[in-house]
Amino acid sequence: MASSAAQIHALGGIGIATYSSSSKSNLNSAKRQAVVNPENTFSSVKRFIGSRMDEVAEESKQVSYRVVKDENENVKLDCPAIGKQFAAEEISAQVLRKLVDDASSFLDEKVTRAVITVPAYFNDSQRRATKDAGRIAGLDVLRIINEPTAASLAYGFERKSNETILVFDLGGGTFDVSVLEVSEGVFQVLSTCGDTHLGGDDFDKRVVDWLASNFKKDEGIDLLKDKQALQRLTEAAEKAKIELSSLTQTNISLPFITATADGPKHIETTLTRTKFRELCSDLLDRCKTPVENSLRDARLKFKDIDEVILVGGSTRIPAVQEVVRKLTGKEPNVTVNPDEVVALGAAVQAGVLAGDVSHIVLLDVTPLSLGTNTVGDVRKRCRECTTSTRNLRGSERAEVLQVQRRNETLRTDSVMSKIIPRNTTLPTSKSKVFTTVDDGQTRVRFHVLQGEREFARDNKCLGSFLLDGIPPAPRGVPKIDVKFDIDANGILSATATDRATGNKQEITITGSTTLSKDEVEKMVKEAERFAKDDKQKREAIDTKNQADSVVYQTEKQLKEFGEKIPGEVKEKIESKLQELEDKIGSGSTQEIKDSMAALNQVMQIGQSMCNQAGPEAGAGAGPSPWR
Amino acid sequence: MASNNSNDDLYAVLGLNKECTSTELRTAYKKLALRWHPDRCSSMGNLEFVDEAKKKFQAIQEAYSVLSDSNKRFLYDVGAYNSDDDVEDQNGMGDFLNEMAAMMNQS
Repeated sequence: MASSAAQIHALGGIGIATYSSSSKSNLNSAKRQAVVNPENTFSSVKRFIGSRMDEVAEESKQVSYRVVKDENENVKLDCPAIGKQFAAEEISAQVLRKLVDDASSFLDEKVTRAVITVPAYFNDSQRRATKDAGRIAGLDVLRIINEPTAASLAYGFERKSNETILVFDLGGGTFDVSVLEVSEGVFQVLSTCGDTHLGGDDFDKRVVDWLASNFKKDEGIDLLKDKQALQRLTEAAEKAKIELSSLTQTNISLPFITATADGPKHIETTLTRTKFRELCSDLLDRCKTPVENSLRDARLKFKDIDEVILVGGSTRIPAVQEVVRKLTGKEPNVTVNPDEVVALGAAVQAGVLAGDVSHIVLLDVTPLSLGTNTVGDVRKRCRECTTSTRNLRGSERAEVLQVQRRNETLRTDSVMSKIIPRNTTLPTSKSKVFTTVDDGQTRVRFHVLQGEREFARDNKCLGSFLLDGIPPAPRGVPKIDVKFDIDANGILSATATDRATGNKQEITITGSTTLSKDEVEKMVKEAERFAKDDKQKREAIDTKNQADSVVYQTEKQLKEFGEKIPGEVKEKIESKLQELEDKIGSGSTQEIKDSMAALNQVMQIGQSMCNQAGPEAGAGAGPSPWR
Repeated sequence: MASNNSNDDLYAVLGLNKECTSTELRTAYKKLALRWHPDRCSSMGNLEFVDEAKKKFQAIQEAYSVLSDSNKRFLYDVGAYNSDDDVEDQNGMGDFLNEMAAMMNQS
């Protein structure tokens, strides 16, 4: 496998989930930045991607930057430093671009295609938005795969035995549980469940609130209103949480957290593992339901599970591991690195798609049911009538007709009629027949819904489409085939066809949460421009660093071999060295490069003289440090 | 379309006969999935072939989803299975089917 590993990585292995592991240095510098410049530092953007403002009201209060809504109620992230509002897709694209650049320079090969991972419980909008982010970053997104599934691929890649596994994936912002059956190279997902609003950030928040409420009690000051203090609290809370994974208690020390007329105020306290657990007890409880539901959907019992695999940094929390242990009665498998396993799995899938990995296939499912709106009361009547037709005609009975209101907006009493139930293996396409509710009705609007709730409005509306030109007929007579198709990325397309006329309408998502084609195109162009600026900036930094090391090396060599070089050459070197140092201070990238070249030239003269002076000295100089 | 499939022989889709065991079902399904899943041929870049593989895979998937569920397999064997019932919320469709299954068991 070793030979094709590089190729696999060249193709992908990029998990949006693994921001932290893949670009740790970047993340850490961003975290430092967040304290000084909270309004302009974006984090946990994944929580906002492909979402409407009303879906992320709680999250938007917990971040240091300002989350605003645009005219379509969609989320935008405000960046006052450059006076621009970004879509979450654009910020994600920046992260992706950085990861791809790092991968490209590591492999010394241009990376253009990628497999991107998302939480399994992401809905259609969030998946589309993630794909758009990839495109904005200039990538051809081969596949969107689910994080727990990716983890199972990495885990089961080298294993031969047949196993039923449960993947428990608690990351920074989302929680997924998947149950899989792995045998003979077939990774079959049996069920998936999750909570897109539960993750490590919530655990941090509990500690922040605890610190802030104690401070308020003691000092009467609300630190949560001070963005900079809030950022320091959050950072300290995360650090304490991490320390409590290996220690039973930890100190939290935040000097000069704020100041009053009496002088500076500090926080100095101790948090024990027990207290932390108590603060997070309801979060721990929330981890249980998806585990139970995923097993029920897979029609399995805990005893049927062979392995429980922990994925995501938050599964390092001892209390989380204990919940898993108690619930499943199994010692969780900790042989995989919870931060890296998802990216590894993405690389395996990239290998499958590229044809490099031939003995594996991944059968994933759609996490949420998809359907359309129907009128509840009439639907019930319909059911009765189909029951009676069933009795009359047996297996030849008429198709279930469901009724569609003409109105454009979702009525409060509309119910969701499922076309593709959750946990259906992908790719899939299913269809269902619908009819009209009024006499002479010529148009029907279908709302495409995703979710498990009975009433249409409680589910996520992905968009709507209109089928027009139905020949006037008594209600219940027209027959409209509605076909839903989910591709291997878990992304939906829908069509409605009127049987009488053959009129066909494909979905054009309106009023949805994702960006329009034009917007994506615009962002791709902007991102390319930014990338050019970034490249120049990076070149400047690289040149400067290179020049610094040339100065250092030259000084060192002058000290070591100075006596062996004739005085005039030495003087020349020293003057060029001085010139370079000046340019490093104030010159342009090109000037620094020129000075470096000039210095290099005189140094080569000096070196050759040095070599002539004595071969042993030349050998001692070793390989030339300036290249 | 799902409703058309109910006329086809689901066992034949998986290359099996009516008497096959559930283990045989599973083995046959996995072998076919490994062969016909669209991902297996996407690297060849032949779109037509990918499309055909997708259709074939969906038929295999449909057959397995019915036959791997003992309730549905029973109904299919006696000619009373209709794939539209799948889509209905599972509790709702249960009523009629359970009643029928109970009747069959009594007799």
